[in-house]
Amino acid sequence: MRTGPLDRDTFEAIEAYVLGRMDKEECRRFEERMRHDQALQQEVQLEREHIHAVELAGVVRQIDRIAGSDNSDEAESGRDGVTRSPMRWLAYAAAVAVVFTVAWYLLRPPLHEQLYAEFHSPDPGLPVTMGADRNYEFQDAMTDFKMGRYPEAVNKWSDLQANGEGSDTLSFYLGCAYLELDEQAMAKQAFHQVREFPGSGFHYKADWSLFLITLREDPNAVASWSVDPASPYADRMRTVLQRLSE
Amino acid sequence: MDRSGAATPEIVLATAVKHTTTSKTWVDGLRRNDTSTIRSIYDAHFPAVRQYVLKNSGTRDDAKDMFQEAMSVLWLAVKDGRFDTNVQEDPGGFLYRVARNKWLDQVRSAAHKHMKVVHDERTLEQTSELPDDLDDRLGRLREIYATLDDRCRTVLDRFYFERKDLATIAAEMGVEEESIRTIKYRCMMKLRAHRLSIAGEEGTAS
Repeated sequence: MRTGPLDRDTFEAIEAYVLGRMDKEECRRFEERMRHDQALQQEVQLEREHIHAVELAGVVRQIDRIAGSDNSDEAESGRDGVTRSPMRWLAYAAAVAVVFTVAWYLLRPPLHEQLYAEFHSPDPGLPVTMGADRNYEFQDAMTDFKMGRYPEAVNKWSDLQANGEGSDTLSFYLGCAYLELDEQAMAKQAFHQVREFPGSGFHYKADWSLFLITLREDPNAVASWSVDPASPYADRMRTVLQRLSE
Repeated sequence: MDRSGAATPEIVLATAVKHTTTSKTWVDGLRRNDTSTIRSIYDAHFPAVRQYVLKNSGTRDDAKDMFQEAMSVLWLAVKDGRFDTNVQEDPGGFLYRVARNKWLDQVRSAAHKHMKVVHDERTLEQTSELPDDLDDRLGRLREIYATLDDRCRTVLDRFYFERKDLATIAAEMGVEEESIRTIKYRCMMKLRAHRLSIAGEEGTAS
């Protein structure tokens, strides 16, 4: 490689080659020149690497931005137009209302999704008693759950379960946390585990959760659901099934 | 199915694959650093990586880090022309395997020895598409970029990553086009000088 300075013309020729901005004939001549000039080959390799370094940083920034965009949506939406006049605001509001009404009509979710949204509400969790006993980790995860920190709750409860400290309570709340994370398959698995504990106090709750997941996944499958008359959720299940069949 | 009967990440992956466009489109998009391509790959394939990391003692931030690493590897492989689009129809499998192996490396590190890995057998697979030197090269590229000052980054980012022309960059920065051309040249020459000095030191040391 040349150790002295690289003139601007050569630098820009290499740049055009690396970025694919040469026409066919220029490209052919440049490659021919490279074939006989090892130093030029090394300069091309070095400049390509420097360009890649800049591009990679850009790709990483983009991914960061995309990954963070979920949290930034709210902040973005509140920034606009504090200085606009009230009449303008009204006009905008009316236009937005029309657009939303049309969009809602065209894009409204299917009935089973609507029913799921209507009947599903996040479980409030259990009261937390923070002591130094062996339940500390469970209670710590319950605090996360109640604060809406579902991934943290899932991690802690999964660890407990993996360490053989499974129980119907743990399985049920693990299922609830997965459900709030929209990870239906994992939620189903956890709720099915509750059913493996005979006489569990969470049996009917888990059954109701499975009913709602099935409703969301496959309304045809839920139509043949066998409603347990003893369940405190039986009326709600029948209402859903009734409205599905109308 | 895993031991608990849940859908495996491979199944999740197969679902995600449906959402992406044709291989030619995404390979071309990545070559051009196209933002919408990066976004569509993220949207389609991040959930599978997130699920794997969450199931294996990680957090959402860990999953994001692993996905970012995997995307960097994929991007560099595409830039190198190492990604055979005729064989590999979709980047999902590649991304998943790279992210999974990187997470396993982390889990196996001293700080995470207490963690439990759920998918033992599959996790022992190697990412055969991943050349050994890619990690080193990515590290080197990051080091190179770290040596740039803010002004150089501003100009070079817009020219090489965003692919804006000199006139546009000049207008955005309120300077003459020729100034941008000169700044770009000087910044790239600073990088070159830095690299040559390192190569010189290594040559002297050996």
